[in-house]
Amino acid sequence: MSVKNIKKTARQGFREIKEDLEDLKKYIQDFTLFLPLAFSLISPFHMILSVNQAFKNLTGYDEMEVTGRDISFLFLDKAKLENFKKTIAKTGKKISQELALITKDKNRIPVNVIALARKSEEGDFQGYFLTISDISQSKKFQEELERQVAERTKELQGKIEELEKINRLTVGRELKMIELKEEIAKLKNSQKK
Amino acid sequence: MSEKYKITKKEIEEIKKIKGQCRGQTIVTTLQAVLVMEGKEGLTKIESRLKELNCWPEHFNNFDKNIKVFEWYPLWQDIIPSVVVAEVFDWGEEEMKEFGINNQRVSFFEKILLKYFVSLKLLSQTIPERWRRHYSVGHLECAEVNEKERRIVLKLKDFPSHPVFCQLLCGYFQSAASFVVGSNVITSQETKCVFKGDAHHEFLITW
Repeated sequence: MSVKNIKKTARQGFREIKEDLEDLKKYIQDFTLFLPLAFSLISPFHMILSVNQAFKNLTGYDEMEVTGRDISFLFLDKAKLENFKKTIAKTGKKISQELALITKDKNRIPVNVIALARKSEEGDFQGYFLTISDISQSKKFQEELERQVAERTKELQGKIEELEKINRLTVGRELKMIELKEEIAKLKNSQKK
Repeated sequence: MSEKYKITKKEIEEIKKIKGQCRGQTIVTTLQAVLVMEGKEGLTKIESRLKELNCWPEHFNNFDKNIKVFEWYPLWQDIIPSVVVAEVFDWGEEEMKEFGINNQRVSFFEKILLKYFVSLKLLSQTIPERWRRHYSVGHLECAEVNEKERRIVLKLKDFPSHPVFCQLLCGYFQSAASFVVGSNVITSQETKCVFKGDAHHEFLITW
């Protein structure tokens, strides 16, 4: 192959790579925009690098308001969060934690936070992906369910006690009737004699 | 910078003559940072002024779609908009530094270059490479990293630009460093400048 052709092939190759990179960039941007789950990219020092639209919708914060800030400001339970941060840096696995999110409007929302560490080929911790799910509805549902279960259990217990009472009375009456019948039979027998 | 700075035709011609290229990403972040700081209205003002100066290429329209971030463009397409931003909004050094910080934070490159945010040591080693991903001219290196004294010194050579651009770079470097020093209390200043007679630019970052 001539030098000219080699250069031509190389230029074409570079062009194709650049096009692929642009496509990849668009894919990433479209995907994070679509993702209905609040998602953020966090640096190894726990600082927010980027967030998606769902994150902004959930927290009320614009991307530029949070980029460069430590994630701590978003959550109420500081001790739990510190532990979470230490764990994510050590483990390569996905970890999750229930926390209380503080929105820009100062509302508190129970959330489930999941983190997946990113590591280089050499195993260096390179930060993590973080997702935040609003679990307030499922928490409410769970509490309501528990309340209903407790109520029904109490009702059932009452009914059981009633039934036991009736049963005791019924059995008692039956036993008494058997006793009386036996006495009647005895009396009849003694009369015949 | 003096009050009410106004870019001249001569300055524009000089900048357009500068040899070198910038990645589309640098132009996109400049325009995105304008949106962040001054909104759509601000961006419209910049567009008007750049059109007056005949410095608004076709691909600047719908820039987030039309400018390819991995493609190379003439260097003036990054420098002139930044200079015009300072002129139109009458920004001084502090505002330009803030503009540089926002440039770094909106940059897609900076997010995908996450692997460089692992440590100060790695950051200092990879700075020349990171510069080359953005510009085809100039050489940026880490002249000093002192974690004990909490300081970094960056040296930028052979990068012809404009005095306004220096503060933008200052803010940009400050923001990039903030992700690895683990401190929100971080400052930067240009301690040497080619436009003040020094051989190269030098930036001091402390935290």
